[in-house]
Amino acid sequence: MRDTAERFGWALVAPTLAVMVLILALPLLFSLYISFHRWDLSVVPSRIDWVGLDNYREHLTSAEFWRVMRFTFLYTFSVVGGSFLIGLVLALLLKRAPVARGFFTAMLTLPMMMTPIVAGLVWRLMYNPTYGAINQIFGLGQISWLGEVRTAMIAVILTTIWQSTPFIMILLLAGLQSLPEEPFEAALIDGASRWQSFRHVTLPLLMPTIMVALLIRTIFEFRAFDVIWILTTGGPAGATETLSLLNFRISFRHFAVGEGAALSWLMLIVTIVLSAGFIASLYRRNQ
Amino acid sequence: MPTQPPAQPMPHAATAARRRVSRRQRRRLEDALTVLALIVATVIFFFPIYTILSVSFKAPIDIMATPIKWFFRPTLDNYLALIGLRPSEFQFDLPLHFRNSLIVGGGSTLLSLILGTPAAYAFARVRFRGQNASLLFLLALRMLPPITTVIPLFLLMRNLRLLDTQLALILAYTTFNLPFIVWMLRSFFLDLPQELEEASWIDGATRWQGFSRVILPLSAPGLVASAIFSLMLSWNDFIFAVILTSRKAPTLPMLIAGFTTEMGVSWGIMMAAGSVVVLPVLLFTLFVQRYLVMGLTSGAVKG
Repeated sequence: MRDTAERFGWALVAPTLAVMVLILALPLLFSLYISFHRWDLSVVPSRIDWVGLDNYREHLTSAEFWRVMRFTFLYTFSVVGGSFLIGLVLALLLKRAPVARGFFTAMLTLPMMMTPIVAGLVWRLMYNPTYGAINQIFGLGQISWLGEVRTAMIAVILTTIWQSTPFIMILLLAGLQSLPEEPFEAALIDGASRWQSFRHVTLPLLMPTIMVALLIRTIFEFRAFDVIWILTTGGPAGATETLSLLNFRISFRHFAVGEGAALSWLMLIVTIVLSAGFIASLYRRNQ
Repeated sequence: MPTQPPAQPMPHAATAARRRVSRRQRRRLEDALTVLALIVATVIFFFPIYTILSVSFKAPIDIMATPIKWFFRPTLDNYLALIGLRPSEFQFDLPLHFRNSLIVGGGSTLLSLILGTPAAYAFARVRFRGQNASLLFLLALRMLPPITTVIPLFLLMRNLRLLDTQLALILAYTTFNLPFIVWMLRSFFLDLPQELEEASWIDGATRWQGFSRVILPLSAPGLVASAIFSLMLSWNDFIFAVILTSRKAPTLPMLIAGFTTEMGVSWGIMMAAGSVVVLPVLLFTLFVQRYLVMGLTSGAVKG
């Protein structure tokens, strides 16, 4: 019996695992191999030369790498922080909504699934200095949102907060709705104020959901590409360039795929650290 | 018979009643404020979507009007230009992009469902060695930033002479659709009662029959929902498309991104194209609202 289950299980998962290994895991290992080589695709015929850790050393000692790294982290944490605060408030409002909760939830969900390229394009129109909605509605004169370093950073962060907030809102709303009633009744009997019951009952009970939401979002914002591509393509003067955009420029504009692969593995190390936290928290919840 | 003197409890009852009224009033006020806040939030969050739709029906002069023209005479010119019935300053091939998006999204979703559904069932219902490790392996692959996987994929497709083909994108999208579908369907199967298959085994069904004849038909809603998510993931992708395709197999986001490189002032036609890309996604999102939580935690958003 045990043996048949074993064989049956493996028969069902083997095709999936085989495909994933073939189209993803092996190519990824290959990229580790080429990260130790100089490989310039723009030269024909292209040569592959062993350079050891040179590609990694070049990144880690370049000012550009650290500038991009700094912005990627600034961007990631601003977006995750901003969309968490707004998402939490919206989830609490939706939980409390006396009417039309389904309608509001559905409407507020829409930005999340929107094609990022289209989202970036419409925000680009809204940021237009002369006739864009942001300057027009708020009477801000002719701020060139995407043209200046500081405002371009704010602009890409704001746009992504708009797209990412619904994700956090949906998860936290589901978390709030599945909380047990008893602790709140007990807090009420003990004479806890609303704030106290939120601070000492709701938040601790919601914490596992909050952790999952924050970790997924951190991993996703860290890889930002599409929206920034359309809004600024990393400009002005590289101020809004993320690691993904820098990697694209190195690998597919300069065709230095060895350097690009090395940058990929540096990104992977950061992602692995972030995901390890996520998987650990998920695992603990499943236990 | 002496009646109870009502004078004594009266004041008490009155204050209690008054307190109750004021509490009810406060409650109503809070209800009103909650709804008001939600309306404000909805207006803000919906505004960019409204902009796409409204600008797609505006004439150029109304788009660039200051202050914003909230009321304008709608025109279909932008949509006519998009389908080639009016001249436009852009060079593009909408049917090509549309066809590619459909074929690539559909192909990858189909492939992921065929491979992933039995795997998801095994992860949910069968006990075998290496189960947890395999499941975590799939989750870990889902966490990789696309740029890190697309570089080796590009080199692989280049060697196989598959660059700029639909097959290249179908395989590339399967790298994120397949793990997603396994995780999503697994949680779906976990929610079905185990007794269903056990009853069929007693009737002499094999394990495979228990899955294919009992569980699979019951999972239709889950299969449809995860297929829709998977279609949206492919439909929305840009990074794989921009790297793996150019002239023959570009998808709809490539068409949109192409507009920005020759940046004229034709916001109208760009937003008309944007509406065509985004409307099916928005409708599908409303359609799968019930499964959003399950989908999101399985990775239904490709950041």
